[in-house]
Amino acid sequence: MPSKLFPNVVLNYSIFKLAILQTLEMLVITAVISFCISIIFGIILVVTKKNGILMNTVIWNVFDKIINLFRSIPFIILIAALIPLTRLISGTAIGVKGTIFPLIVGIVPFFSRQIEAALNELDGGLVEAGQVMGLSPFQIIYSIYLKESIGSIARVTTITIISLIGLTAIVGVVGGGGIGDFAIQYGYQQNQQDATIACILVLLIIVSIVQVIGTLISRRVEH
Amino acid sequence: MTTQKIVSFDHVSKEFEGNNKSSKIQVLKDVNLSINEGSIFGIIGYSGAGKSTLIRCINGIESPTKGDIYFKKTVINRISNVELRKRRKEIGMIFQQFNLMPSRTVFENIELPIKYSGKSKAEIKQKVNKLLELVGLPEKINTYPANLSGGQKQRVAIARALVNDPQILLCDEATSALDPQTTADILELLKKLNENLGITIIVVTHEMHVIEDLCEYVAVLDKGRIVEQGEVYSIFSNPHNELTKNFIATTSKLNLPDEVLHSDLLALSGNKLLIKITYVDSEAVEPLISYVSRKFEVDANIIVGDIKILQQKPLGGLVIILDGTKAHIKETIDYIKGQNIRLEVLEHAK
Ligand SMILES: Nc1ncnc2c1ncn2[C@@H]1O[C@H](COP(=O)(O)OP(=O)(O)O)[C@@H](O)[C@H]1O
Ligand SMILES: [Mg+2]
Repeated sequence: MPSKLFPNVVLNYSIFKLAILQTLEMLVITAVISFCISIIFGIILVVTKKNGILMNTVIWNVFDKIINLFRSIPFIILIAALIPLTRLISGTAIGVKGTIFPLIVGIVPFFSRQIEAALNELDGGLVEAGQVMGLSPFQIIYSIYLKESIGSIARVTTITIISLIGLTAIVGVVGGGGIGDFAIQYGYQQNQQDATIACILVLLIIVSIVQVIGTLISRRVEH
Repeated sequence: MTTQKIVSFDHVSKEFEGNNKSSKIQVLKDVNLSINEGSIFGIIGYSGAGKSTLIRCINGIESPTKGDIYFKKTVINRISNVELRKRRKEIGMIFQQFNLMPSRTVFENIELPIKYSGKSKAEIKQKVNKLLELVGLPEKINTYPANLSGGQKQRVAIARALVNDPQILLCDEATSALDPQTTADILELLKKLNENLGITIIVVTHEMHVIEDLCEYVAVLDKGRIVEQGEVYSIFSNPHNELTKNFIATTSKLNLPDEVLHSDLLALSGNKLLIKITYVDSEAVEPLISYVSRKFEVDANIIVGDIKILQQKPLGGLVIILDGTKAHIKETIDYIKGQNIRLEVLEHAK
């Protein structure tokens, strides 16, 4: 049956399987690292903003401007521009290893803005309640900002990972591997329609799984 | 009762930056206040008067542009952040919107202020249970705030504010989101806390009945300026400022609407005179009415009476139609005025 519907995919099954694994690898590693970085950036933006609990105009401006700068560079150009730095950091600019760094640089600005928005959604009264009870800024960040925003953070993380799936497909183009690479090589360059469709199906499944997990988490924490 | 000052404002002014950098909004203007330890002090003003800004100066959430705020011997606006956080544990606060943490149960909400204090789990649990008992909600310990009524939320917020055993409880419009019955219950609870724990309570509100039902002292805030302050009884019985009078009017039944005053409903004819007399320093009004009607041969027809007990003293008065000969009515009025009772002629016969 699959050999009728997806003859070329079956023919290159082991390459296809590798591509899926590579995509998942890029996705998981990048998501975990950029989540940690973006949470920190998001928090910095929120606490140093005007009337924030650690208001600091200079720090806020630095982060705000840098994030805007990186968000304005198209990802494909960013990859090219980062090549020397990528080589320095990862030892190579190709393969999965070479994609992680540009993926992180590509997604963190977007992710940070998403986290910032999620934290800013929080009712200011809750933060004030934390201040009046004598909590330290760190305690307020941990036990109010983050704790009360888990649902929103889960939602924006879902959105971000779905965008990240798009980026992993793009890095494929510059020899990164993964499903994007497979789709270009077999689907596009060799005009094998079934390969393209198989790639779309796999991406669709990954997106759905991410979406379901995200929704489950945000439902679970909200009362 | 001790008369130690616990909080005082010394020429406090506060301005905020306006929308463009150059314009300043003057929110507090030369505020001077002193609040006695163990008292219940009310600050009343219309929305935007600066009440929240004023009360937030006490726990250093806002800092003044000029002047100093004393909490006992500490100048709140001149201490380090670390020191300020310590002081804040001695000053509880509750809000109009309760500000409970939605992701935490009642227990976890009340525990939050002492969660990082190094107290043992058992000690914290005991403390929270005691407070839930005090505010009358022991059975809600594992409930989430979303499943509580407004009054219950405010009770939890009060318990949370008390968990550090503060010396002061600040209430920013704490009953403004509640229905009248729930408001009365919460005010009752606050009074009980004041009596039983000796905690000083400072409330800001735009509702005069909260001042009337709860406070011993009141300050009237008008566009950032304190226009009148003193003991609640003396302010209610003898207000000077126009705004104060307006606020008092909202709680008194003695203010007949203009439609009634100028209508034919009262049937003012002949020498009839519509007057209002008000208690000042607990002079009894009723015996006076029967006395003057006998002595000066006038009819005194009571239209409205409104008497309440404020700080254990009666306050209120009567609106009366006097009828009789011109001379008798004049004698009556002169007599009443001589009795240190406030008298206002509302309307003459047409
Ligand atoms: N952080 C702020 N920045 C600028 N203006 C403010 C700020 N906080 C309050 N104000 C202004 O100060 C005035 C008084 O506010 P507030 O103290 O909240 O009054 P109230 O509690 O009596 O309604 C209002 O005009 C309000 O817009
Ligand atoms: Mg207010």
